[in-house]
Amino acid sequence: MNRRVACALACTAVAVSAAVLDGQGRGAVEWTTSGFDAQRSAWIRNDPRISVVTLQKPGAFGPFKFLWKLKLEYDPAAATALTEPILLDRLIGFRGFKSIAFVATASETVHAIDVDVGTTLWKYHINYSASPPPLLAGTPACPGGLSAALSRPTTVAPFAFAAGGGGREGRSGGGVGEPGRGATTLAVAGRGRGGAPAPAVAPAANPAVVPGSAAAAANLAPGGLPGGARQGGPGGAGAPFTPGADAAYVVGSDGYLHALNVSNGWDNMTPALFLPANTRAMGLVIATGTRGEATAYAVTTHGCGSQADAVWALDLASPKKAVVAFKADGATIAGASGVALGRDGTVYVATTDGPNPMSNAVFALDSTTLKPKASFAVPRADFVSSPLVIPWKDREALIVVGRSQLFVFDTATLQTGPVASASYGAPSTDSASGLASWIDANDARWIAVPNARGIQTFRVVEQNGQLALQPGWTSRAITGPLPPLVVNGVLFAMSTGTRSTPAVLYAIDAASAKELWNSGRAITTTVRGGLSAGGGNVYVPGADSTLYAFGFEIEK
Amino acid sequence: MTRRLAALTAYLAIAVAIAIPRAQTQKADWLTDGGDPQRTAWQRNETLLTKDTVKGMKLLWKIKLDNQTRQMHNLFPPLIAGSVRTRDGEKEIAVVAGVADNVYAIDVAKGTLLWKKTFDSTFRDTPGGRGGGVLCPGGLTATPVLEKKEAGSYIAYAVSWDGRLWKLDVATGQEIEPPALFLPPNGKPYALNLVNGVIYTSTAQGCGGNPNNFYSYDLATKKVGNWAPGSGGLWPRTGPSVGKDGTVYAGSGDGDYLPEEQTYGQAMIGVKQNAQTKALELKDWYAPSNAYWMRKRDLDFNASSPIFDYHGKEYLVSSSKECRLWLLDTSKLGGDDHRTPAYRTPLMCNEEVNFTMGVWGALATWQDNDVRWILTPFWGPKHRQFKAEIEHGQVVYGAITAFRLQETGGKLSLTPIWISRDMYMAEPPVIADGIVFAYGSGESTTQRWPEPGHVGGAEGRIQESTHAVLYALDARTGEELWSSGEQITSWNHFTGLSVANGRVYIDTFDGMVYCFGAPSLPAVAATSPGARQ
Repeated sequence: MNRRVACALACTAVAVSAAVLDGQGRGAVEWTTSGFDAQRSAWIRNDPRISVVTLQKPGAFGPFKFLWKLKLEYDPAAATALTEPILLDRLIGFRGFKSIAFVATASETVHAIDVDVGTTLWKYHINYSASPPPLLAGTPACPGGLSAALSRPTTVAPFAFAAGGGGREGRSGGGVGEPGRGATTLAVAGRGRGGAPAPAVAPAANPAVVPGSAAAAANLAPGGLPGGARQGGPGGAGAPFTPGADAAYVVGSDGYLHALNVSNGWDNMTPALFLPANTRAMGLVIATGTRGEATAYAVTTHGCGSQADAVWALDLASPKKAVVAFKADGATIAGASGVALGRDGTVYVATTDGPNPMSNAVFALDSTTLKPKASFAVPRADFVSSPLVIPWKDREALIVVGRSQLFVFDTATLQTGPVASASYGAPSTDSASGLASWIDANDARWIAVPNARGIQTFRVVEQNGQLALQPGWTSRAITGPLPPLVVNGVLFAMSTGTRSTPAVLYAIDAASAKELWNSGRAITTTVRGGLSAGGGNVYVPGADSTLYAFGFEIEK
Repeated sequence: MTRRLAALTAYLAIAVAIAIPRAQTQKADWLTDGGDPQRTAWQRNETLLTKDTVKGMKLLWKIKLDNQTRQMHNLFPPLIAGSVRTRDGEKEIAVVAGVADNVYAIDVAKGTLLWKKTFDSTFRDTPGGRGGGVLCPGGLTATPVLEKKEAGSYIAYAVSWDGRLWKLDVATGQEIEPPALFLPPNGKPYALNLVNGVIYTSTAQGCGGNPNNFYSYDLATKKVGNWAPGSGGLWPRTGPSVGKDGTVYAGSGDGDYLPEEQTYGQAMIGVKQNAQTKALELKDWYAPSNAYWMRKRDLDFNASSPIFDYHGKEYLVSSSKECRLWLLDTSKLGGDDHRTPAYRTPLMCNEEVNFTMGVWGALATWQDNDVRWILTPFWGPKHRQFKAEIEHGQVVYGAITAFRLQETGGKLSLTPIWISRDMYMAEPPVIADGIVFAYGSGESTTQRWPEPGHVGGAEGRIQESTHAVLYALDARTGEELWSSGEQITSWNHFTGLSVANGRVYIDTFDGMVYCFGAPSLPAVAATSPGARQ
């Protein structure tokens, strides 16, 4: 083979790689649940537009800035909190290509927002249909209404473990074939995306309309088709919808889980009874595996609805939509993101301080039965966050925020207690804290936690063969910071704001702590809900039912 | 007396020769999709059909070919060899390719089948992969190209499903030589072009797992060159267009535009064959300033872009599903920054920003004395802010728009002169003798994705499609001169019109080839079956 042909084959291979990567690069990274992924890392490794460079100095995309805000509300007299926006980067729908944010109001209306233009695509109001009457006048701990962010299917195989993500297209180039031998691309014919047969996945059988066992466990009368819910219809191309397939999943305050068609908000399936009514649900995640399994997880907290705090799991792939629960027996489940999942599907949850034997503890639960596999109580730890799962060498580590310390557990030896801890200062004023974790350009693992002053970071290092936390940088002063998120080396932190001082969004260089940008006076309310990001934008749910979007303006 | 008689005879012979319409002695051809290598879609040699005679255009014949459909594809636009020397005398032949690896030859005077060639295939279709869908139908997907070797002798070049290049004698359908290796199998090449002994095509959709490329086949050396943009497919319906210096142009579809990384998605690209090595090399490109938006909403380049001369310079005009035109100077496609066109129109349609609307297929252009016209079809309603000097009613489903190119103070502009009547999915027009031939395909172009209650894909769209309607319009005003009405009973997808020697050809999904023609041409009464009873 001469050099020219070899060179041509190399160019062809690049082009083929481009075709392969095309499938990964287009819309591959999406914020599909609270805290981004099933591990609650709050970290987007790559982004087409957000980077330290583009935040520092306007380039081809122009400046990072406030893009739009949209007031969402179903009932003006009702609660105004918004859930953490869940994203769909590219929907190919009958109305064209859309990038969508799914947000719900506490008054139980789901909004699908076209994020490129800041307009509503569709709305769906959940009509309460459980036997106990709805909680209309709640308390700060039990506000009533819809409380859990939506979820789209989220792979259990953690993105955080992947070597890369958000693949890019390949380089241009070409070649010349030998006379009579055809194109050089013949050598790689059929190997690109679309050439290999799709793996066969047996679809789940159509579900029967059967109330979940949670109803019986909670002594609730079985539901049927909740009032106002539309009968689940066929899915794509006329095919039946397979529970666990893509949809905007939401659980109402009546405890029913809906799977809303992302194009138009229709119920894809008959809603399934999942949780007791009037609880405070958090951290809904539709966890999917490689063998077609799909499980909905959520936690109920603060004893709302006169129910003990619990972790709940609904097997979407089962015809009966069986529900199992892990009850915390009077302890309070910590965090705003619910459970975190390990690479093998193990469910991790933590509890706050209290007199109950299950308080101040971290639990590892079986993914199917939710039976405890391991646990450890740290006296007076008073865990305040959902756990965060990170890969560490050939295993995993679990990180949880306590009242004044970060605790690190080796998931393989959870029952022996934490392997490391570090003080991070006084906790942020927000009752439910959260973490973010990312890997920097030097392959170092970082953790960021909000405290009363701002954001405190730690590097995860190995000392004497053990995992340890090394204090990193501390951010500028941020009042009442919410859990941060990291996008392509930029850490976004949010001050919650007060009645007199609205919230502010900050962009910080995750390597140096240098402030790159802030939102100034763009936000005119406080913020309590979780941030999300994707596709070059950051979304902030205002406490007055206004959704804010920040990013780079797209020339249209 | 004898000398006087001889002079009179000579005089009469001259008079008769002058009186015989030019078309009877100098037959026009339509050798390639889009009419010529520049894809102007302009039949320059039409005399039988005029603005007056077209009002009486009639169905001359129709013939049903036995090609099997694949997804929504069936037949491609007929190519016309105006004067072929056959063993039965001189014939005008229409060469029609079918997606099921068939090529047919039709005697256009009689509307009868002369021969049929079915390509044997070295490709075995495997289940799964990106096949069996509307975007990747498999089979033969590129309109062939004809070459007139000498008076009476034509060659048809075609690419079969397995990617091989075939060379057929148009007179007989016989292979002139064994098929040659050319492209990867099961790809999706678009209409072939032939310039100076090189066949060009481009591929898209990554069908069959093959990367999207420009391709060239050098007939003399049998070397194949390819060039990939690194992102996006190349899917001009009537194939890439070629400029006078041999540069080949096509727009790359949805993809990343990262020139610093040599990635050219969402751009109009020009490549040129290296005369020595026969490689294809990047010559120039233009990327719209809103390429990121176009990528996000799938509004990509998709139309064949005609090339023409104007005031001593060569220009290319293109469009996309976004639904505006870009006028580009081929000497510097996008200016110094590759982002600056010579002119950009406002949006003509697609206010909804829907990828199933906008411009699809191909543009057209013709010279009317000193006036350069540009025409484009579009799908969907007209943009509320887009206005033309003459408008023929509300546009809901699609229309043809005609622009006049003007130069004022050294600056170029495209002025919209007329918008046609509403057409159900207006398709690429062809211009001949001051007439615009256009048609609404009748195809359901709605791309149904997950939505309750709808059957998606080809099956659903075939159910929803109706029938095509052919129109003849005054090229200067857009006034409707003639319509086929209900005569065409089926619809079509990704095909086109051909015009030559007083005849207009259109084929449909049910395998029918229709020939409408000037009133002076004889009609064949019956529908003739093609190749199968």
